[in-house]
Amino acid sequence: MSILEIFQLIFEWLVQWLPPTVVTFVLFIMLYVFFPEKFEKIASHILKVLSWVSSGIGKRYVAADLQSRVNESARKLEKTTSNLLPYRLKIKWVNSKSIEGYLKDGQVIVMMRKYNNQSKNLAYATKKYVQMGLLPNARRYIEPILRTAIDDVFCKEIMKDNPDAVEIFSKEIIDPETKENPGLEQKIIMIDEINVRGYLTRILLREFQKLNIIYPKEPSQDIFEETVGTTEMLHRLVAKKPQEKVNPTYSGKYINLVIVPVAKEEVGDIMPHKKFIANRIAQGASEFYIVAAGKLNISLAKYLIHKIIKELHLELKFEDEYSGFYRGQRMSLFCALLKMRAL
Amino acid sequence: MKRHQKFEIIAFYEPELKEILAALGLLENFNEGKLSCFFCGKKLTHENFGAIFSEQGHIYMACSDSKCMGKLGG
Repeated sequence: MSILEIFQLIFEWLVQWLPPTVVTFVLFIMLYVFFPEKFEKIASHILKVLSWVSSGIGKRYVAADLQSRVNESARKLEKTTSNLLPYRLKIKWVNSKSIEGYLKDGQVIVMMRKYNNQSKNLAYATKKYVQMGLLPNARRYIEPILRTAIDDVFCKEIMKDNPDAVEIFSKEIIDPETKENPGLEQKIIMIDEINVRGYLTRILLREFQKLNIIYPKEPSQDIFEETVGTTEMLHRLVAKKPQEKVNPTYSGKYINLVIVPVAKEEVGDIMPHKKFIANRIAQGASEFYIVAAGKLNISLAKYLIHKIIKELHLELKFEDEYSGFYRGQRMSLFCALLKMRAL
Repeated sequence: MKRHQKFEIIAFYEPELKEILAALGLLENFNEGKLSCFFCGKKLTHENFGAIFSEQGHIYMACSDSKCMGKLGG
């Protein structure tokens, strides 16, 4: 029985036996317990309507809206790769009575703008949250300019339903950063292109997440170079022209990955892909991302996975069919991760 | 159901700025335009006020410029 069916049964029972006000109350409690982000979203809509009534309600709206927007996006992003953002955002208010205690504890206390300037709050709060919360242990091993670029693209992804916040974020945060860091703009463009193909969370950050295994070792230049090398390989793959050949492999001390694009030229024939994977296994590779664009290639990719899983002793770690951009066109895309089975 | 740890942003609400500064004994200086950003030295106003923090018992403030806010870390 699914969770939805359980809810349906409880709901039918409640309606039959309890008065409507009690039913509404119970439903809100259930929403709060089982879907806290949805509850917060509904609460923020109610508070928004009432914000003008008093400063206290405006303040509650600011916190509820920020928390629900950021946490809802984090939850969605976690569907593709878990633990990218292991923390949920919470706005903790201080007032004139409690502020001194927080300052004594060495806390930084930021000023949140009034409810009618919420896009600005969202832009700055998202940046702060992502800077601290995205891959908390592994992020220190990502080359610093690349890390800023990933943070910025991730922030834009979180705020994409609020164009005003993205505008403020671009003007007030990205522009000064790019002026200060030569090379950042190029890296943001690169990460943006990887992201619209859906590979940022499904491949790149999933690979970077593995770097937490070396925590608490101090980051070094060779780790930074690996993160840049992996990103450049992935970017060459998403930016390549139709007949251009790109080596879809990155082999480093910490990061090893092989991308297997199932593309039109081999339609109907999985042998070249199977041979390629078998060769890489012989060379020591153990993880393979199978990617495809368009319905036909996706079917072939699924068939390939079905065929090679047993033959090559692989296991399917995840698969995802989603909508994204391929050579400027929105279409169905596919990404799956296969891993060598432990003997 | 997975329960997540919280990442807290500690904040005060813009309409309470004067009340907060009064509690810290800084309102008069603020009204006279004597408070400035710890990082860039810019004069702090209601519009560009960013954050309050302390170091070794001293209270400092930062403007809302992303460069200065970025230097605040946690």
